[in-house]
Amino acid sequence: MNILFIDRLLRAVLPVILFVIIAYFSIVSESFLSAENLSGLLQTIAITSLLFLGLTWLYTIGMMDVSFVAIAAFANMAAAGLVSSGYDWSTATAIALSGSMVFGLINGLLIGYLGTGSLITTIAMSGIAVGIAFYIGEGAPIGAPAKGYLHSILEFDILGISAIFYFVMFIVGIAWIIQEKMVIGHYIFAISSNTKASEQAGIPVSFIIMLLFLFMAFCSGLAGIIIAAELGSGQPSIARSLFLDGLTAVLLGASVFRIGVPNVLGTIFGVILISVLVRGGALEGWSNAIFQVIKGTLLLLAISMVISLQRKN
Amino acid sequence: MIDFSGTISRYPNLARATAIVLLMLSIGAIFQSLAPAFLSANNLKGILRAMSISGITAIGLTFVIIVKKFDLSLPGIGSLCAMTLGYALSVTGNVAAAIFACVGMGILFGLFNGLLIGRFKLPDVVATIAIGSIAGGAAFIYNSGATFSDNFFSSGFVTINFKTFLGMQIPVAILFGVALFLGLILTITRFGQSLYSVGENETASKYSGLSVPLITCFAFMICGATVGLSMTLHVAGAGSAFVTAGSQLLLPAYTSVFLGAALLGRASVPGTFIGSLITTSMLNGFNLLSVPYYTSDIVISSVLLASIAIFDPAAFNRARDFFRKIGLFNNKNVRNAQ
Repeated sequence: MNILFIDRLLRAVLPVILFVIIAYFSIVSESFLSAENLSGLLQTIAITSLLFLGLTWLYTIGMMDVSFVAIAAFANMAAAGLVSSGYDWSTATAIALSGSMVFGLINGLLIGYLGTGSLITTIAMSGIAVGIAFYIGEGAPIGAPAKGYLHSILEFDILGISAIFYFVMFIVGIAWIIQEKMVIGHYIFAISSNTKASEQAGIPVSFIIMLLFLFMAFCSGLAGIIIAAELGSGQPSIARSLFLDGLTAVLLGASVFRIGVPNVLGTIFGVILISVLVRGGALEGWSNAIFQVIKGTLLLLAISMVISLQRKN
Repeated sequence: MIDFSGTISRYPNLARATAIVLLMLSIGAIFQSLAPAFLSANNLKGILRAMSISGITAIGLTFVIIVKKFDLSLPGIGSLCAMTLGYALSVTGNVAAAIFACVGMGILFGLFNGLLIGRFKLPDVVATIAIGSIAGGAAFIYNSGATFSDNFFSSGFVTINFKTFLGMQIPVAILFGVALFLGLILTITRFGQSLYSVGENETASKYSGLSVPLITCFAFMICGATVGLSMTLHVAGAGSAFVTAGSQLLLPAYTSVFLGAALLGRASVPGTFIGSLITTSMLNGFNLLSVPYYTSDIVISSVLLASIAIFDPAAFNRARDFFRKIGLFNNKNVRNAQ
């Protein structure tokens, strides 16, 4: 077998897996293909895509980030806390989002300019963000009344799909244009293939790292706030299960579209795969432990594929 | 403006010893003034007892950090070890067999990590997250996630808590034993030195005839074994085995290793031991002040952040260069002018 054939085979694996999963759930579960379930699925895909969008480029340039879900948890609790103490949703959004950006800024300054390790810095930062999230609710969730502009967006549906889906797809479209057509997108891929050479060539690597951490914090924070509006409450523990999903989605995405490199559309593909799996599995009554094992295995599969594709290139 | 950087680079060991003593004294003084029970003999014993659980894992993690890898599977493997222990104890009633199964499970998953990272060259962070997730899910297999506490008393397992050895409680004795044993392995054996060498430069180590995959694999297995051992002590202390047993393992372990590395200049067993002592004392102090766990998490994370940002030599130099550039902290220029 020649290398080209194996390469094509590897590229085809994930779309085939997605197709098989969808076919399987459509057969075993009657409600999977119902309009209600599908629109719920698209809303989940939209919010999760937003949460993992900012993460993608950080992984592209070889940074590890584990603080994205912690920042989402912080924004989630901050927004719910502010709304429950009498502020309106737009003020709460503004404050919670700026708070999230502060975490992104500190991450970016420490990692980009001071040169500390990205993993260990974001581990510490996520400890702080989750700690503050729990501190806001004194360890418990906070209820947030479901009225305000975010609810109008969430409930305003076009063709049976929430407007939030179109909003996120719009952001994804912009991100895709930035990645493919704009100079900063080229810089990101240049850094991903050789950081030192990029720095020598005059690309402001430190600044881009900081920018990407800010973008990550913006996406995570916004997703956290939307989750607060969707659930009608702030949940400090949303961080736990989503962390693994984010990593898996980004790495699964690195084996489609741009091969071996995390990219925007790939991440959306990864999110779709995981969301379908989780929603279908939940309809079938799979336990959390099974999901954990499946996601872990999927993550191993994804990283093995990415590594083998990178070596071929 | 006073510039300490010259003094620090001239007498590194003196500066480090001073930093450690100052840190310990200030922690002791602050908590003693807020909670008078802090320095009582009973509480100091309690600190050592709590340290035996987190410290053993931190010492194992040191080995992984030395080869410049990360292990994020600690919580998952810890939970699986605890549930294995509970299962083995409730089925066989044999303490030795249960502990053997628990530590063995830790070594087995450490081996998985080591093979994926050392042999198959997968990125350490992603591979350990995946393995940790699989282990965490596997912990639910026993008894579908329900808590074990059968045979804990009848088999004599919980006597680990209050029996003494050479005047120390058994967990504390195990902590000192592990620290001494692994510390010696790291400093006086060829294997220990090769760990540092792999961490410094993998390619050079490979061409010096070291088997990098094997050494990496051993580091992860040692880490897995220590997770199993500290979970044994944790389960004995709690009196039951449950599926979230390992969830509090990660942050104190990383803080201990990096604080120790910051204080002693590189990751080492004595450094981790001191780091763990400081971390555990602070957690204990917050406990005495009945500060909720999430607040102490914030403080521990900040300590971790400070220890990597301030004490990391590369970061320190970059920060100094930056301050010199903007005109602060520029004693060197003044000295040159004189």
